[in-house]
Amino acid sequence: MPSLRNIKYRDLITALEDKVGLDFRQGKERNAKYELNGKVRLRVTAPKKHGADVLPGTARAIRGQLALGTTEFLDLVNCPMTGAGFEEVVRRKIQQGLL
Amino acid sequence: MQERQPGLRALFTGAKLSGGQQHFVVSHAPRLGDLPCEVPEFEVEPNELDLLINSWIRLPEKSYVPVRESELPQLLQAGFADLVERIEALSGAMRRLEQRLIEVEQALACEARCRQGTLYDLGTEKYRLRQPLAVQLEEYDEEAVARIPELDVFASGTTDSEALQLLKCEVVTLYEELVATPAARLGQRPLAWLRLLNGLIEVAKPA
Repeated sequence: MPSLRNIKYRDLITALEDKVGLDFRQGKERNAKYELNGKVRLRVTAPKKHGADVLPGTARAIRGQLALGTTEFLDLVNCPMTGAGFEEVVRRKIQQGLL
Repeated sequence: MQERQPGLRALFTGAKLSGGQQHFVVSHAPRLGDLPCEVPEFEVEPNELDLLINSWIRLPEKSYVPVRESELPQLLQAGFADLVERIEALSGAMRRLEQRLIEVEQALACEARCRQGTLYDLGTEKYRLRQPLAVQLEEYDEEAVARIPELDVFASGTTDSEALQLLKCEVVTLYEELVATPAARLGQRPLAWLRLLNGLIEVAKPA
């Protein structure tokens, strides 16, 4: 059973900034927009720093904002999923009329 | 023919006193000795019983073969090899169960205790809610999260109250971001957020 526990804050921020391409410094508060094909598709809130790990409730909420399943989310954070892989997921959801 | 029942247990199973004659009735003939087993029940005098039992019981001589102390560990090892193997298998199973228990505990810690909450205002004079806004409150061991799944917006805090306060700010921020963005630049989901918020929020006082 994949768990959203023990996700490192550093790993999550790196995945969101480097792979997904989010820039938390541009948006208001701690939010960043994900754009594709010139349109805003997602809006992601940066996690608060709370020790080395991201708290599971926050991780779960961010997973929802990224429109990913738990396994996909863990793949994104733990490396198997690349930025292109994430984009592919988003494109698929756009085709389905979800994003 | 009655089935043969070896051992002392069978010998005493059917022993009982029969009336005032002080006779013992043995209903199950044991296999020990040469007593024919086709005799299911017979009577003996009380003083004959000891003799009868003694004649039945013949312990095998091999039970008393002496063993040197130095040979004992080897004999025990051989005798208990199967037992040791089973104990090791059980220990392995125990370790796997302990690991599984840890995983289940971790999974449960990630599971929130969920309940519904309601926002009646957005914590600002600027906007007013036309109707109460349902929110989902999730309580974890170390944090409380307030979410509005339809808007993909959340806030976390130490308590529900803190999370709700922060969520109000998040809703306002989201609304202002969406209003400030041309509709043509909004994807399906952000457009849905805007539609929902336009129906829920009204400007109370021009900025």
